[in-house]
Amino acid sequence: MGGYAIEVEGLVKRFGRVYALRGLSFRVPRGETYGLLGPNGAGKTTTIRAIAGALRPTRGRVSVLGLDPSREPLRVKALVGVVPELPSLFPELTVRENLLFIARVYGIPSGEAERRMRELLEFMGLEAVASRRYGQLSKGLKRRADIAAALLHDPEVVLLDEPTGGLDVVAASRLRERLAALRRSGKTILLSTHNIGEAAELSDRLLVIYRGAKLVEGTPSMLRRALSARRITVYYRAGGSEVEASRLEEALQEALASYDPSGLRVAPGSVSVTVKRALDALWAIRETLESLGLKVEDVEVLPPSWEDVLLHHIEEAEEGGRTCRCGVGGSSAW
Amino acid sequence: MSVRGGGLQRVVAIFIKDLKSYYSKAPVISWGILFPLTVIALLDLSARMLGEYRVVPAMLSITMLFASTSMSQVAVSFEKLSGAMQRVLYMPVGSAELVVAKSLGGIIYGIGGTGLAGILAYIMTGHVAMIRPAYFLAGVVLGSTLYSALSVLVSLYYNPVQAVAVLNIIRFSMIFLGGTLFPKALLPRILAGLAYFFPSVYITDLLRFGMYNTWEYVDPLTSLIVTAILLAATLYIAHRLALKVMLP
Repeated sequence: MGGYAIEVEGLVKRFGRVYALRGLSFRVPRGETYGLLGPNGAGKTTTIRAIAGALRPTRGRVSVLGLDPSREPLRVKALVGVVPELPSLFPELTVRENLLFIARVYGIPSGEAERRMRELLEFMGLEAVASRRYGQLSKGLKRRADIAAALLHDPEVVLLDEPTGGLDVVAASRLRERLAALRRSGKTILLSTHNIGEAAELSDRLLVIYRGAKLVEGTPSMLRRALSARRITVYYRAGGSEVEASRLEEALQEALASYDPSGLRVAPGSVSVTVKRALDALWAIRETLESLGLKVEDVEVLPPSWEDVLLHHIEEAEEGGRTCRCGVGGSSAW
Repeated sequence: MSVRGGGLQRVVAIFIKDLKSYYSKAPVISWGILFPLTVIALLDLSARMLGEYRVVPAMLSITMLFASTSMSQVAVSFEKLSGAMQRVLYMPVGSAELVVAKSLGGIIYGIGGTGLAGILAYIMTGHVAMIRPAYFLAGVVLGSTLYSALSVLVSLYYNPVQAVAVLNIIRFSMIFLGGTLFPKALLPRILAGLAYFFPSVYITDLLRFGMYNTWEYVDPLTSLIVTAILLAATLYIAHRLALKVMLP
């Protein structure tokens, strides 16, 4: 098994006629945080369930610390901590009672359980609400309690499914701080999210999946570098003539066709787009605007946002019907 | 179907957690306690006409049915609704352990509810016959376990709303067609024949034999065997279903 905590090879999962996963392959080295990234419905949760021993693959192979989760689900579940996508503790019990129950199920001796509970309540900032019923907590606190529950048996592998999903900005940011601390603990973490910024911030490597298959894989900086594009925003003023947004968009699409545009947005007073060869593209935009009687007032050129990176790859896949079929463990689309 | 090493600890942990979480839930109170009490009150009126040996075992049987099925259903359905079932599925709990743990609450409620109904019967009639206590006890334990496992099976298979509807169909069929409420002599021939398809016939007759040394539909030994077979079949199907739910 070498140094890999998780190995997924040619994973296929079919629900009736629908394929949730289509030959997905990747490897997660021990101690690494691996971001599984993709839009809703990409197959992230299905992948996590297959790794956690809660789903039998239609085809393909999964190995977790050398064990096959579909053959030895109980042994795998004992080694893996899962934070499901939705709040999953028992609403009628307090946070402490929930953790005590989980400790009993995992057979943790009571003294050890008490010690770990104290540590985790402190680590997740839950001491003040330990005696409150889980069902009465805010979403953010529920997520923290979910993570504490997943870590209670000190698992070697932690699977986090959309940990900040549905949280407000403040709660999500605080939770990310704790996830960053968890990352430093040396555990192997598989982080599933549709938030590319979060995945880039917390992961050593990223895998973008789309429609159940691998799209691209690499380190966050590789992913960003690979897209040698810039996000251009041009602010304009109507020079006496009103132009319909649809007409402007059509004209820009035509003018920018050779610059590999993605994420074109036309708003009153501004247009923004991610393109390659930004300087040439900028001239093309200026000419287009002026030909329609609009005057350029200001220009902003930025590196692409993480969202742009993701959109770029998905749009490319949709246009070309392409999904990466490259080997696991480092080879990628570029 | 066996509970593996450490499994007993997991079963007990889930059972205690279920009792803490669900014993005072509305469906458990209404279906498991209030409804059987209402039936007991109604049966008290008919006891004078039909005879104590017909009515008291039926009363205990109905109480057992509602008490055990309501608790088990709540313990599964509430967890499905709250999302906590997801957590259980990610824990190292075997499918057999899950079925046994989820059935335990219903079994305890069934036995306790039957005991309570027995006390009420004593208050109503001034005495409670118990000629063959071993048969009575077998009826109570096997019946509560069968009803509870049946409820777990239905609740695992159906979504929470459907599970309530399906269980109500089963419960009321057993009351009206399953040889509990109406004596065999009062039922049309075809319905009396249909009663043999319901486990309540055998369980009620076991209670009747244990208390009054008589039976109405089936002799006690056959009742015992059929109930045991039905229980084994229900547990097996529930176990297979749990396996499918846990590793689809």
